[in-house]
Amino acid sequence: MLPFHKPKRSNKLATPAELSQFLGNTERRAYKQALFAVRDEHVALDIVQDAMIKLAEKYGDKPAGELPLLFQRILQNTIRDHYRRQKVRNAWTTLLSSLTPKNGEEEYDPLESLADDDNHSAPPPPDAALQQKQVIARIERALERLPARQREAFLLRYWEGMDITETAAVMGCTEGSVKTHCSRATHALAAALKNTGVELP
Amino acid sequence: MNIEPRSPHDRQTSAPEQIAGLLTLATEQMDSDTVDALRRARHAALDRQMAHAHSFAFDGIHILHWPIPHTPRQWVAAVLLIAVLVGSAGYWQHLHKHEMMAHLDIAILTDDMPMEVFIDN
Repeated sequence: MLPFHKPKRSNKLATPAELSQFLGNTERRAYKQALFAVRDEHVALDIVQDAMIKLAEKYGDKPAGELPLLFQRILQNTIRDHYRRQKVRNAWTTLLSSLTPKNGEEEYDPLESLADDDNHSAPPPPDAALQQKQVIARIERALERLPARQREAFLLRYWEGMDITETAAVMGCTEGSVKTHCSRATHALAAALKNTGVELP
Repeated sequence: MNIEPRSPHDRQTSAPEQIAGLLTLATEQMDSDTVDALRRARHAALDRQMAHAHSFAFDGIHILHWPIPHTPRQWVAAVLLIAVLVGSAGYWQHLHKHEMMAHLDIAILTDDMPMEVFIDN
């Protein structure tokens, strides 16, 4: 089931209440998307806030039906801007410090965290809720490990419930590329989860 | 560990949809600090939007609003001003025409017609 119902496309301009409702419905998923991409809670919050402000200031008076697509486009661009800034910052840091780039990347090595999950000496989950939390944590970790474009396509297509055309518009690529990214992401996720003991049908 | 379907309907959903469902579940279990921070971010965005909208509305209304009279006294003053302007324009036009005729009469009498008079337009 999709997480939200897409509003009907209409030319009626969004009221402040509609904009507020849209942001309220979207903010948590947007935060998670940013978190999967940047892996830093504070940065993810900043990205979501920036995207919300940009949407409200520049497109707050657009029709309510256009808000999801516009917001996703702004969010993905803000995430990409963060990547670019980080790349420049890393380049300067590399030049100015004695640290090598590999040390920085090792901080985010997902294999380290996966090793903790494979620790079978840990006590078994006491109830279904905990088991569910573990499954969610593994899914989130597997999503973080996906290439950025695959993750973006998967989340837009299956989590945000956008169709292929809309996903292609947000990502700025062809519909064929979206299909390829989604297919690869699904296979990669299924394989990653199977490796951690989660079986998908 | 299996992702157990929770209802007969769920049995028909695909793996991506099940993953999406679990991700949605995760958003409902977010810690209160993050939820509060997101709420603050939303309110900040909406405040900015309101301020932005008001500034535009103020500009548009202000330009249209200030020249329109509001009281009867202002209406009378506006009508008088318009009457004086129209009267002055008419009087100035009349004077200008009279002056032109006088100049032409003098030119005919002194046989000093300007070249423009002989040019056939």
